[in-house]
Amino acid sequence: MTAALWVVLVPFGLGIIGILIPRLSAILPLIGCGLTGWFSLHVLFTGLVHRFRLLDSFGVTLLVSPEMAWFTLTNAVVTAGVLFHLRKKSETSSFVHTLLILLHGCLNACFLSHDLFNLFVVIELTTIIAFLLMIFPMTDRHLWNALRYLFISNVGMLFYLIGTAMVYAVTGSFAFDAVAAAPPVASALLVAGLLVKGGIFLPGLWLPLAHAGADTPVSALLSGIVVKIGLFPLLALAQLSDRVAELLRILGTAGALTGLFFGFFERDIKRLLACSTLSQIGFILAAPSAGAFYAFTHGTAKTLLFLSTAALPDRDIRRLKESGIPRLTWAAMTVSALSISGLPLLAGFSAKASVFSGLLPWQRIPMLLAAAGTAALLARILFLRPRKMETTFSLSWISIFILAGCLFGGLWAGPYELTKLMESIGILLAGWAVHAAVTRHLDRFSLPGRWERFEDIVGMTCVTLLAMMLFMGYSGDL
Amino acid sequence: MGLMYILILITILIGLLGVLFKRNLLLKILAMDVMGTGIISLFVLIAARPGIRTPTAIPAPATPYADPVPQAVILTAIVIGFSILALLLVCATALARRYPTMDSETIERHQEG
Repeated sequence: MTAALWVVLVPFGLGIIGILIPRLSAILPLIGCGLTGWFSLHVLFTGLVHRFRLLDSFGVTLLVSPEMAWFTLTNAVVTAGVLFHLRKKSETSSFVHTLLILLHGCLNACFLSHDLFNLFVVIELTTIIAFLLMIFPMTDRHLWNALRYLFISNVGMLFYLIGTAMVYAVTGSFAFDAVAAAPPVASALLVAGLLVKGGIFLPGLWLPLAHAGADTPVSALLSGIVVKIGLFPLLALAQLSDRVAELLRILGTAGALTGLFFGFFERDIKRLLACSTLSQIGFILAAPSAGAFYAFTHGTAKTLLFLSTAALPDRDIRRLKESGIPRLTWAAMTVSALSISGLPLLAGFSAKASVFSGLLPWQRIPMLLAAAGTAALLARILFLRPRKMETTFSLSWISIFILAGCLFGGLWAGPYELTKLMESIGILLAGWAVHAAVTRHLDRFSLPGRWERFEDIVGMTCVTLLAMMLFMGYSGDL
Repeated sequence: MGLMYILILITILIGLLGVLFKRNLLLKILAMDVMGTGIISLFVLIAARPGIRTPTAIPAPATPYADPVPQAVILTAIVIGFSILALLLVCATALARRYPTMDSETIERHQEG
């Protein structure tokens, strides 16, 4: 079963071929996506769970599981969508395509990895490639944005590295399973590092600026799949340790509400989408058992939303309200926004239903609020008018087809129980009512203070880390 | 052993404080590297255990030997830390053309407005 390694090695090989023969670089990544997609579907349909160790004792443990398959499938779909989008842009260089396929391979490696130190290496590699993609047009704004991203990520990963050292000192192993036996402080450090990478709650507040500031295809990649490299290991840790699972439920619920709060005050459509990502990630963690499928539906929908912003005449939502948006873009945005809001028959509905059935009793009310808030937040995009208009750039039919196709895949997945259907329609209507009554007007105000400052995010990470150490110590009979 | 742990912890904290409180972008980046250095030393110290002898394959060694695994893996982390530092510095150099003072507050305010 080392066949799983091919989904990492083939993309890397294709990347190297792409560097040597630039003419092929636009086609090669598709082969990688196809391979990853086929592999993920194979694992999903057979329900395969397989653990293996590379090379001898002290080797790297890898784990193939259906949860992993949902993440790699997201990776395949998102990368393919972005690739077809890039093909419509004539000026994209072969360098970007090469980076894309390398990123694809690194992400697959992250999802396969079941070893703390190996995970550190592949996460850092992913961060570096994402940084190179973000920096691309080389304006001052892009430079600053990419520098900020790399810096904050790296500080987070340093915390993670301390945690890894502590786990090894106690257990003599880097395997994920060792975390269960490690001291609570070590798990708090590991979780803190991954929270920064995954853009969760306060340590994740770097996310809106980074995701909104990058170029559209890169934003789609970052929001669709790159933030998931922090989430996947968190979900894996939650399965191994009950205390971590409890902690993640709290952080996920808090994160879902925080993201929404910031989103309501945004005027810029890309920042609004990034804030929505911040809140959706909370949903993924709130019920760790249902997180993998939710990550898939969110990844595809959010990629489609971000790609659609490329064809908009403006980024300001209020001006878009007056001018209207192109019809095709409108259709793509409506489908994905409805899926994230959880309209029955779309994939987002079944994902939300499974998250809600995995919640603990105390989480139910805040998460219902968060779901209604999501509907209210995305209503601002939903109620834009379609209009026939000339645009400089039109969307690629193939990427819309791939991404929207995945969302309509929810047609046969959904639990068709009357209570679930009524509940989700109730949430939607409540959200839209809130939108019409209150949140529609909130974008006139802007939040006081500058909550996205560099130092403040590192500071908030430290504070969250201390709070988590206390929490872990308290519940672990220290 | 205890003293070494404390010294390493202090190194990491100094780095963290530098990241938090230095306003100059270049110093911030260097402070991050100080933090990284502290963590690398932590790995080396954990690897040392009570023994400092090189772990060569001898049946039943007389003196305790160091654990080779953390030393081996930390090499990768050193390389990664180095490459990230290099990328950050290149980026900062490019920004320095427009913001010669490298003051992170100024850059942030400018980027927002």
